[in-house]
Parts: sequence; C-alpha cells; structure tokens
Amino acid sequence: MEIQLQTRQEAGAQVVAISGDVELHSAASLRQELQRICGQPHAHCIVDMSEVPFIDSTGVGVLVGALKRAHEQGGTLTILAPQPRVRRVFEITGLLDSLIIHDSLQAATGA
Amino acid sequence: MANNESEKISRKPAYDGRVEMKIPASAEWVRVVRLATAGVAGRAGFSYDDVEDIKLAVAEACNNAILHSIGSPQSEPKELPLVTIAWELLDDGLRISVSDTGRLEEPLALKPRSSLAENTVLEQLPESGLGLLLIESLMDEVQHESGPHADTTIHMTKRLVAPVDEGERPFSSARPDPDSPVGQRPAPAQRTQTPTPAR
Repeated sequence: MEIQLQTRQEAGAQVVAISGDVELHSAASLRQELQRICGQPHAHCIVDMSEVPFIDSTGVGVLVGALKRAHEQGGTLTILAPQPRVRRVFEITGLLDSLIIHDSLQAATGA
Repeated sequence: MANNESEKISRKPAYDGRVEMKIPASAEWVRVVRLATAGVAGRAGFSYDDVEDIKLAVAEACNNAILHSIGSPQSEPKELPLVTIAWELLDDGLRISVSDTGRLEEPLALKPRSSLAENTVLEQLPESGLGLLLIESLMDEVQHESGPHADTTIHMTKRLVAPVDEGERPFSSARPDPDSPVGQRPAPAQRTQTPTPAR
C-alpha cells in the first residue's frame, strides 16, 4: 500500500500529513516531498504522523535526511503526534533526541 | 466412535512447528510477511507489544534481504530472486530466519552497526543501515550466516520471557539493596546476542 501525502500551508509552516505505513516500499515519495520542502531556505516543515501506524528504518532514514537538510537551510522540521509504536522506533534508533515533537498543531506552529 | 475422535484430536500435527514462506525480492511483499508474522507470533503467545516488535524486526530483515538481492527497491530486474522466511515455534519463544540468494557482492545493508550512544547528535545519525540496530534491539538473539554464494541468512529469536537486563531497569525491585544479604539477590541475566559480521 502506498502512503498518502497531503501538503498544506498553515501559520507560516508547511504541514505534510502522512497516512499509511512508512516503509521501504513507500518511503520514496515521502523522501522526495520532504527534501523539496526542507531544501527551501528557512522553511518550517511539520510532519503530521498521527495517521502512521508503522515506520521502519527506511522511514527513519528519510526523516534524518530531511532534518539535516532543514538545518543546513536554516529551517526546522517538527514531528506532529507520532503514535507510540512510531515513537518507540525513534527512541531505539536514537532519533528521539534530535527531534522536536508536538502533540498538537497549535503547539507545533506556536500559534 | 468417540475413541477414534479423541485419538484424532490428540494426534500431533504433521509438521515440526516450522512454517515457511517464499516471496519475490520486492519491497511490496514485506507487508504480507509482517501480517504472517503477526499471526504466527500471536499463536506463539506473545503480547501485543512483543508481536509489534517481532513484526518490525522481521520487516527489517526482509528489507535487508531484498536490498542484498536486487540493490535498490526501485530497480526492476527481469526475474526477481526469492527471499525465504521461516518461522519456528519453540517451547519458549519463536525463531525466525530470513534468507536471500545474495546477488550483490557487497552486502552494504547487512553491515552490523554498533549501538548508538545515548545522546546521539543529529550529525552522527546515519540515514541508512539502522535496520540491523533495530533487529538487535528488538530481538533476544540474532545470528548471521553467510553461504558460499554470497547468500545470507539472519536468524532471530524472541523468547516468551525476555532475559532481564538490569541496566535497562534502574528503578526495578531487583535493584541491589545494600541491606539485603548478597546471596539472595538474583544475578542479572546476560543477553545472548551474537551478531557476526557478514563476510
């Protein structure tokens, strides 16, 4: 199953809402979209993961790549509402320490 | 006859507790393996969280096997090699083996990675190669086996009662109590993880 991606503007940020499993089979489209957004100077990207029940190491790699790109460009990447299983994968892979995670869009946009 | 019926029921299944599946080395099939793994792990008696852990570990092993076989998920070889997944029900857990036929000379995806430091900074985080770290974190025992034709098998075992790693539970009741007699404290169990680098 492919993942569904929907990007919208909200309070000065670009919000990418993902729906589906982020895995080897589906990660390419997410990688492309996040690299596009995070490659823009000073972009604020919010990745809504509330509808992602499963992520594998490929998905983690995509987020690591996007986070690095955002930092290079003086931007930010924020994760919105990851499910407990996804959060656990962030923890094991060491990504949790580098991530900004918010549970609500209001908190993520600082509105 | 009632006697015949009870004989039938008590008869052992005609297999030795091993179930096997072969999939084309294509990322779209990993989801099917995850579903099958959930079924077998549930049958073996694992908790929901353990089943989820096992599913992820098996998916990572399949990812590695697929990348080892075809190079990248986007490549489309004319004939897909097969990846074999075997689930073996043990008395105290589940052993899963994932084998590929290994076309690539350099199995980059299989290079074991030592565990990351606790406060890993972003710059040190790799964008690939995290799969094996996940497998080793989620399963109790992990072994690699390299065959003569660049084929590789990874064996993973999850025990129904995982060995207690005291280092991970600093506030558990098993914490050494200075007032208690030394002889009454249980010795911490050792993890028997034995990752061997792929040749």
